[in-house]
Amino acid sequence: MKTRLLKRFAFLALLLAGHAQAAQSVTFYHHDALGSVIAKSDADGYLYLNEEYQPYGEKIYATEDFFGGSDDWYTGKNYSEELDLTYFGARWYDAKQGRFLSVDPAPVSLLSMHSFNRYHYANNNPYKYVDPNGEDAYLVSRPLNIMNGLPGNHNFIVYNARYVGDPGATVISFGDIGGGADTTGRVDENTKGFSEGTSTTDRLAWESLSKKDTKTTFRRIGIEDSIVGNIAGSLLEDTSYSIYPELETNTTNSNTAAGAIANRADGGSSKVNNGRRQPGSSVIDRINFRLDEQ
Amino acid sequence: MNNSFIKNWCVRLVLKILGAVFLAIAVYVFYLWFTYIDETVYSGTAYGLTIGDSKQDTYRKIPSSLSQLSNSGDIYILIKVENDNQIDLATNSGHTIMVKTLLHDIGFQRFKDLDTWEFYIDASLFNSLKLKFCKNSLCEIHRHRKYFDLP
Repeated sequence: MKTRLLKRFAFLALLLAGHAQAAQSVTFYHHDALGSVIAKSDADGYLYLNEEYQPYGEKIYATEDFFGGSDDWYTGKNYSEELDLTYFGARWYDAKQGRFLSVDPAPVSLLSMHSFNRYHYANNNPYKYVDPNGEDAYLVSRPLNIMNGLPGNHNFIVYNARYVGDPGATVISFGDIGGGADTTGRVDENTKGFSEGTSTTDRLAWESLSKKDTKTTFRRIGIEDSIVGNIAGSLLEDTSYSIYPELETNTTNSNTAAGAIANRADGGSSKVNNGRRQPGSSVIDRINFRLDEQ
Repeated sequence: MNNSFIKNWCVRLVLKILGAVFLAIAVYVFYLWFTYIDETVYSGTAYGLTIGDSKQDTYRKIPSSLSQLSNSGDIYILIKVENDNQIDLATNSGHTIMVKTLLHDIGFQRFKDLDTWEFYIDASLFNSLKLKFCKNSLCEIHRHRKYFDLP
């Protein structure tokens, strides 16, 4: 009996010791506005790492990290000491030069002057923007699947794209989501009704850009892609759907929604310059965002 | 032939053309409305399939079920290209493509692990039959067909 009790106490002691050990290993990471790790502290508030960076990411001050080095560096990206470079997912970045080492995998957009510089970082404005993954966002336009696309195009948003046609990118589609009255909103592969199949068609149209011969066109949205994702996520589904919103007051469609997101993100055109009719893209002021309500 | 006769004749011609265009649009809209299907079945039998059937029974019935929905009888599915078939399909891995399937018995190995089956008729994403399974039994049959695409 005593032996069993002793065993239980021993087990309890081990558990407590393990818990204490776990408590000792807690590390708090402190970030600046751009997401760079500038300090680490333990549970007692002891600061054991303190770093500062130049605007383009060069380290200018760092205390010694007694608990081992950290891979997290400028804007939270992985830093390679051997190469003295930072990895942004799609490209390596040299903080001393403030430039990527390889060409941007995304093509030049005539509507974004920053895209002409193939090596720049965060639109050359590192105080305002970050480039968390070296990926891009696009306003994409495809012909409607009716009468060979004769009446016009359907537009949608793509972000998290490492290159044009990247199958790993996030595609955001809009359409008629029903809900009693016809309403403009986000559609996906589970959507039923009038806009069923739209999101899959959009995804295949986007992926078709990875080959040369396609009728799908696009414009690059000249801003960090996660901002585009945030704007798209804050779109309010509070307007009535119409095939041709320009002919009906207070109505919108997918071209209105996608165009409003692209325009809000970089201030550029709400349509793709492809010479095709994109009904709804000229009335983007009818789209409301949750960001405006805050 | 005076001017007013020619003028009236021209007006009548324009009105006839406008009427014909309006009628053609009306007939086309009616055709789109008439051919539109968006139906979900939760009980009983539909399209040759029975709610409550096992995955194996459903898989066996699908070819005859889908042949009723298409003149060609061709059935398509969406697949994600993998590393081991990207050369045969001439498409880089990661991309999604639509392929024609013969629904041979060997394919059941792929379908039995999925709870949602999607089949596309005549290679159209807007002409589909989607089946949902709950606890390995068919619990939802969704048929969708439209000959239009909304902007």
